[in-house]
Amino acid sequence: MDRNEALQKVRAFTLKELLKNPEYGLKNDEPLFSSGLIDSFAMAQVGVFIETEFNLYIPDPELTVENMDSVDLITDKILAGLAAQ
Amino acid sequence: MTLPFINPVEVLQRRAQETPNRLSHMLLGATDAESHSLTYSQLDAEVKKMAAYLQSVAEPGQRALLVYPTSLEFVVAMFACMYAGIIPIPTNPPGMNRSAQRLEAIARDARARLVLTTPEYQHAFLAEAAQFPDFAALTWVTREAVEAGSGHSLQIPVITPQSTAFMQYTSGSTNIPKGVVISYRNFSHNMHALHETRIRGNEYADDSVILTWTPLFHDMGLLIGTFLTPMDGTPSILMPTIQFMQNPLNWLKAIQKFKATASGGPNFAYDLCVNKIPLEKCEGLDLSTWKIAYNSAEPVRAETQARFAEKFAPFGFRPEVQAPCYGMAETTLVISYYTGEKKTITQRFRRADFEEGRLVPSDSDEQKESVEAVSSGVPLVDYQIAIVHPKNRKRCAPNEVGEVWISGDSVGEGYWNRPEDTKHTFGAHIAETHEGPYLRTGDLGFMHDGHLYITGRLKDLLIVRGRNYYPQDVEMTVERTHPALRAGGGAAFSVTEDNVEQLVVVHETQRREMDGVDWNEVIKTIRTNVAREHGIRAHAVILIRRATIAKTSSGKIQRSEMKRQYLANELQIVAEWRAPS
Repeated sequence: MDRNEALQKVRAFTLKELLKNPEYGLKNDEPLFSSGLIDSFAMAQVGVFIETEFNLYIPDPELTVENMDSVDLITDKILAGLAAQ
Repeated sequence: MTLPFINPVEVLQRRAQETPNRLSHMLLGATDAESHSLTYSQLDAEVKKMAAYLQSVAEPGQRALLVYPTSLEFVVAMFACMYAGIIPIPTNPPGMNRSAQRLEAIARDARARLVLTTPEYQHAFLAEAAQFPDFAALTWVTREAVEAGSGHSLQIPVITPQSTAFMQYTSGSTNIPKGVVISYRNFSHNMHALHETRIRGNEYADDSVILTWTPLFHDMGLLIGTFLTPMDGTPSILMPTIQFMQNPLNWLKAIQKFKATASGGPNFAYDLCVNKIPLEKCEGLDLSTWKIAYNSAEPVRAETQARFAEKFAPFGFRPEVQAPCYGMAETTLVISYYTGEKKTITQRFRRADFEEGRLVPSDSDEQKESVEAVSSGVPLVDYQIAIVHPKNRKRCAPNEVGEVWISGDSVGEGYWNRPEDTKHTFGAHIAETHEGPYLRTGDLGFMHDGHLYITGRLKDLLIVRGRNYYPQDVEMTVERTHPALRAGGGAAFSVTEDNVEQLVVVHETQRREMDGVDWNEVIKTIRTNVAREHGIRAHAVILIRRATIAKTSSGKIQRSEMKRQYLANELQIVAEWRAPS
């Protein structure tokens, strides 16, 4: 999958479902969890979004703040996971 | 035994006079330059300023929600309420991703008058004011408002053991929050109990340091991180929870850096350290100052304790500092605590008997043959524990598992404004002898050699990563996903896989709706909705044939029977999704 295509999906999901504000000027490398912008409650949503949208299951131990802290990081994790399939 | 009454307002003022320059609390930032601290005299001064302001905008006895991240402001606000005679209610501040619905439910239930918070949260909440009109009617207090409104005088109220110290909203399902009323009598007794844990652990000394990363709005962070410090005169290092979640090594490194003597968390935190910290990153790590490593708020696993001790022994970690504990918001915090042995104390029992509530010792190490129960320690000062048959309310025989009932001065005064729930949970009496009142913990367990063992739950509560979930809340979310799912036909329960509790959802379908329904899409929506509303990923979602969910004769869902069918592969499945293994 094209990185930009994946990134746009992650970005749209983050703005609409997590930040609930499509107008928010989110930078792709902006920390989401570590900044407190969204709380760890949303981690489960990120996991299910990746499963349903990309058909990729990220196991619990990898669904961490370290791996998922920005649109860029989430996209990279998805691409790495898809490449490994 | 009569323990002296500890009045936190007097104690903090005395510390401010006797040791004004001693460190009270330090908040860790991402770098040293971003860390902040308060001495006793600074804390006392900040508290008095805020308390005076609070008295100018509210009456004694009114309730205030505290909505803060882990911060020194939270500590100031807690004490300021106590100095002002306002009843503080610590709450879990939601991120932008979450609705303020639960906060509003708490505000309504407590009939709160004030919200003490930061300007950022105030802004975010008032943006939702149209949705939550009750919020706009509250008085919002930020540090800026306090600074602008200074110059008020403070009248510290008389505090008696019967006065309310604070309320803890941690019980009850999402939609019906219940506030545990903690009086100063309860608070004082639990402070003695916490102090006793330190004495037993040989941890209490002039160079003691407490380090917490668990949230301050939760009983463990609240009592240990916020209050224990001034009461015992030990500095408290506060680490924002996110710093631990980002990398559990941050926790261990902070213990080393500040030479912390007491620190801990739920079982999953120790698992994370074992599974997520690469050994090569531990070079130079020194955990030798650690004297109490408490493990509480979810079931303690012997395997986790053993693996943690083994992995970190080369870095100065001593297994005898591992301290499984047991406690809950209804008892202020701590009930039992244990320390001093070389390893976690466990007992093995024959599985077949154990599952029926009988304790028959077993020598077998085989999982199939035996179960291993982990001691949650020895009950602390002045607690009475009774193990009781939950149905007939008679005391169990010594070799039987029953519901754990507790009495003692730490047991809270009841649920705020809920006399029926209070009577049921806080006012239990043993049949025939009428001993009581006891608190019904809803947990199952037994006593053995003076140790309390918790073996399961009577109440259908799911505990995943230290968070409590009520199955009826999850079932309601699932049911609302699609009209082809039968109302009241779902069971949510947890199973243990790889030592971790996981959520399983089973739900009945309706036959007349079945034609043309894309069940896989329904399952996707269920997973999405459960994650969004509860912050948890379902491990398995299974839709079953109509009229195959187990119910009692009175129509209650039999979650344990559905769990049994799930484990035995006996469900009549229409469609399913399971997490890949």
